[in-house]
Amino acid sequence: MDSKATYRTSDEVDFVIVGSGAAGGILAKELSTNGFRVVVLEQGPYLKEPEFSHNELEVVTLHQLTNNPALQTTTFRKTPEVTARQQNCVMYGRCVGGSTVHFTANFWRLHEIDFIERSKVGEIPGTGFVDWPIRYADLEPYYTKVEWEVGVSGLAGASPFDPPRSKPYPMPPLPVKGCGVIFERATRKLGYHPFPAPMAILSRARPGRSACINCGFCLGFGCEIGAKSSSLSAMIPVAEATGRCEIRPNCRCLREWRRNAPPAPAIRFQSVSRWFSERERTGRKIPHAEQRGDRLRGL
Amino acid sequence: MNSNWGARRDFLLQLGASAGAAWFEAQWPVVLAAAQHAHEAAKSDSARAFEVLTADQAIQIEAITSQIIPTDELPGAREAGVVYFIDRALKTFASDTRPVYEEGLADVSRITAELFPGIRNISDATAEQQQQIVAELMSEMSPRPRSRRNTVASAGSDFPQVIWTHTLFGFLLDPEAGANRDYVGWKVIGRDPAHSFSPPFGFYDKDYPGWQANSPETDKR
Repeated sequence: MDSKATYRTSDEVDFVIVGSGAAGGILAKELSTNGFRVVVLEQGPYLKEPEFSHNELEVVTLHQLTNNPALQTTTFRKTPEVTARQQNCVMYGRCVGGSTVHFTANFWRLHEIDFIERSKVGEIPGTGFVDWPIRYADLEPYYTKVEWEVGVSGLAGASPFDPPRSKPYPMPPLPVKGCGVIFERATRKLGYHPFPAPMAILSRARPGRSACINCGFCLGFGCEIGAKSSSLSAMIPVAEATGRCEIRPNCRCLREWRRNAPPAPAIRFQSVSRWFSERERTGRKIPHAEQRGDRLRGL
Repeated sequence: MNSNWGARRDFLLQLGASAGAAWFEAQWPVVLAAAQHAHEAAKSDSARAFEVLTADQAIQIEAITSQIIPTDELPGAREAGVVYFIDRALKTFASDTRPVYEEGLADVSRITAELFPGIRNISDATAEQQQQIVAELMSEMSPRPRSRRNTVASAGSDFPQVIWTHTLFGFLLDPEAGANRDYVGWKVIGRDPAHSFSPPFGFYDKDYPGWQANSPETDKR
């Protein structure tokens, strides 16, 4: 039975989430599993695992998973005085799951010192360099939660520099390939501390998701067996299974405003999947989870 | 290992490094169609009818592509059915380059006559002569553009660039989509068509015992 929600445009939902990637997918899962009605707007298509391939031309050169600079141009200039020139300065995942679909899946935690660098290093003139308002200990439970929920392979304690953790990784590290073996031996000779990198890729199967088959096509490609712990494979299916989350692909958000009556913000979006039209979606809250490049467009 | 493997592999990798013809980008479905067409044509025992090229043009083009990726003890463009890929390309995503091919083939005939008076077509020349003709043709190729945007323009008008790029793609496209018969392109560059692997992966990790903890002394550094 298909339990996916389909809201009418006139329905007021609790949350309209802009973007379905690393932040949007987790927001969708957390909110929908806690009883909220959620619509996720994603500018890219809803590609599923069987649609992913190893074809470098299609995926990399022809931008199957990412924004196409020929269609969504960006310009860049170093100073206000010079003329901006077209430059592909922003690349991001443009599909349901966002950049988590094509990311390499390295899954690091920040170190304790990263939160208090201002105190340790001191002021940097001309910058607003400050400590974080939170500390590593505040985030640690959430690091652990996400590692266990999405599926991260790694070996706790292998790195002597790792920050404290409340639980080990949920599954053992991925096997080390030939280049990694060479790297490990060479760096160990130099006195460094090589260790298996934490990867958001399953080394053990989970329901509905296969363990990694070591195909080697992580960076830039979608995982056709769901081993990569993308929002697409790990979070969005959980959100959709609640029956309270609707994923709306091929939607570009045009404008956002707060209406007087009813007192709820609204967002206007353009859908290109069903018909080329502008529609208005109302939500009590509109969390923005889009990639930083497109967030700038929104501003 | 055959000594030719390294040289051929390096050559093809260099080809691949510059294979960014962006005019391919908007045409991906038809690129796949062209690849599939080439794949089916190359698999069949009897030659398929060309859709755009005349029989004579196909012979000339195959002679050129077979010098770009020649056949020796290793398979080349001929075995990969590249000419069928080009024919389909001219029918679909690269139809705007038909005049480029027509003019380019005329240029090849001119070069052939200049270098070897009495020989009209490159296909009539010996293998050594064909090599010289194609070398001369490629020497007329515009310097490789530095930016991707310029590549689009030159790839659309420069016959040596166009046929060179088409040959490369016809030889190395993902066999699942078509293009190279019996994975010959991947065999030449050493790409294993397998989809899944398990350790040990090869020479370097065949005796790898797995990650070992650093000694306490090392960790103190």
